[in-house]
Amino acid sequence: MSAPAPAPPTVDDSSPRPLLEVRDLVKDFPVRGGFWRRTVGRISAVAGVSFDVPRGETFALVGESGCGKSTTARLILGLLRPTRGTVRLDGTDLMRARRRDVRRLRRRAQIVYQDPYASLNPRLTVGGIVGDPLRVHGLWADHGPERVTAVLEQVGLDPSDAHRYPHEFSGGQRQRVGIARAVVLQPELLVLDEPVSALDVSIQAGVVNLLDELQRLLGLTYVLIAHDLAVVRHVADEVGVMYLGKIVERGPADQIYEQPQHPYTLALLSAVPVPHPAQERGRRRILLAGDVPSPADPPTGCRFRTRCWRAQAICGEHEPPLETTPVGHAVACFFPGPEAGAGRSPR
Amino acid sequence: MTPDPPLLAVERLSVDFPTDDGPLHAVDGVTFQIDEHEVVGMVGESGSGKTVTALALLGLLPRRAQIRGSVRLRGEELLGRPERDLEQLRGETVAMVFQDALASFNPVMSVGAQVGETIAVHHPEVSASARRERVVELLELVGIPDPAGRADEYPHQYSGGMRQRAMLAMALANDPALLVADEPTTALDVTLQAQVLDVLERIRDRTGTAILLVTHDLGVVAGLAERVLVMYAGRAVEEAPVDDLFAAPRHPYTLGLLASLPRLDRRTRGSPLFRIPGQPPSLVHRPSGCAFHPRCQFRALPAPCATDVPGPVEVGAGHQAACHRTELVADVTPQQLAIGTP
Repeated sequence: MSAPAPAPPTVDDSSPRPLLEVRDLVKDFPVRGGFWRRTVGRISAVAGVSFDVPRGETFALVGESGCGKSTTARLILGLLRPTRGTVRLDGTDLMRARRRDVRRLRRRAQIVYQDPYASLNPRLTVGGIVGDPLRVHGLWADHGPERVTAVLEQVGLDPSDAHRYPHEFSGGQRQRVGIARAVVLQPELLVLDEPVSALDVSIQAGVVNLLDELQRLLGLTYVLIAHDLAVVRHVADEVGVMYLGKIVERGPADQIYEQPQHPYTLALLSAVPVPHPAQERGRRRILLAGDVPSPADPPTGCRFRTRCWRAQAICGEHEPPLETTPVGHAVACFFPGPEAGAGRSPR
Repeated sequence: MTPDPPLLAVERLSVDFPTDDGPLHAVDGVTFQIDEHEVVGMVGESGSGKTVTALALLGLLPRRAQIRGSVRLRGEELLGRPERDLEQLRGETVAMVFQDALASFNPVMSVGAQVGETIAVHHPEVSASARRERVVELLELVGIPDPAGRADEYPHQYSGGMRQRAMLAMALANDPALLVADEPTTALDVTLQAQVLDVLERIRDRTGTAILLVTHDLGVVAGLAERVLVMYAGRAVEEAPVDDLFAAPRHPYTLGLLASLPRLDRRTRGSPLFRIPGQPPSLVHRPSGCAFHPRCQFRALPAPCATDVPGPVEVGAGHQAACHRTELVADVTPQQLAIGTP
């Protein structure tokens, strides 16, 4: 599973081609400095990321701020140009597609943003917001109003609310508007960028259930960007754990949660507080030393080694490849395993 | 002889804010107490009144807030006290940490000097060498390695986790009787959260400081608190020892909240999460009677749920639920509700 070169498109019913294929994706941002604003360095926000998402499934990218998960999302949608690597949607490379095909391709991949307060135009009615993508893509004439009504119903809003403005709605309802706007073009792929993290706990479950329902109903494929590991477990089929621009562990969600192998994944999972007093009191959190290193000057070899309790000389000399372990999923570590280590890492 | 008064006794605390649409009832008749050395969690969603309650205790609400009720610290009334008294109190008997306090470090002063300054402000009589000793002791307490050496370093030389720890050391500088921590882990990455939880555990286990932990995160409360107060729409709806609250909640809101949480330790993919219907209410136009009744599956309408505000019902040792129908809630556990419900 360590990122083989994309296979040529073949007709093979036994293993249909994944809807989304991400290969060796790299995104560098220039760092400018000095009087002439010359490029003085590079920040590698995404440093070689590969994964597939089969049609109808959910792939979650998890990790902490600055790990590159949101940049990866934007690269997938073609909102940013990758420095290297490819993103194929249904076999077509978005960056190499002919111009007139690009718009049609873009229609097939949409995004739901985190903050339903900031991402909806306050001057447009809900009907206007949801109908906007249809207008932009020249589809309004084709039953636009009916389509808006149907989508509002689908996300659990009252179609008679179409003439109201976003500020008249609660956070949960606004997020439903955001979801309606994303599905109105009948996309195949939805990138969900922290879709419930701005919502109150009592509202989250409703939105999570809606996303599940829409996936089943419309056969949608999801790339979920999230930091709430409990939500991810409930929603994702596959998980990729990112650290400093790289996927360090990738595999079926249940395996990642039940048999984590990479030290960073172990640390992440050990740190999430669980709403269960006895369990929570008895638990030992792995405390990581130091900070995430700067992406402008990442460590040689394994990027996690500066905070890792398993680090040996080899970790600084070579970069561990993302390889399938005996457990059955992919880990980028020379010393994979389930132990938190005698050393909780030094504080 | 009368027994010692509790560390903090809050009685029928109400806070209104005037708005163009009428008064906003941010806090409405909240009563609770915190004993010496106790860790109490106050949980609720945005608009539940938890943060306003915390600010009211500290005398930090804006002037336009209309405050009623009573807040007594070791028997002494705090409401209505002049600002100078309150300033003295804050940082000495009561300390606080807020979620954005990280930015409060002065970048050009060593961390040790800043912690020391907090001591000097309240205890000018303490000598420089004694202060230095205390600073090192505090940094050690919050888990900073090589505290004597690190005391002379500047904030930018600290990692994010170390800065969080140093911030808590600063709050503890004068050995407060009560630490109010408002959303101390919110907006932090998980691994940083872990550091903060670790320090709060150290404070709980190694000092006599009582903690009021204000948070929306039930996981944080589960591990740290001994007792929990659940807030909804400005009112305290349930109060219980932490194990009872999670195992056998007696208010429909608490029950629903616990049932709706996705779990890190279970395979639930494919089955819908339990969902509390509806939306949190407006605090200006709050539903009549029990503010939760429009979302409640146990309600009896119209009376009493839509007509009378429920008072606290004693349902167990130290366990109260403000619910007319709490005996029905006793028959349902969050686990039952969480599995396979629409």
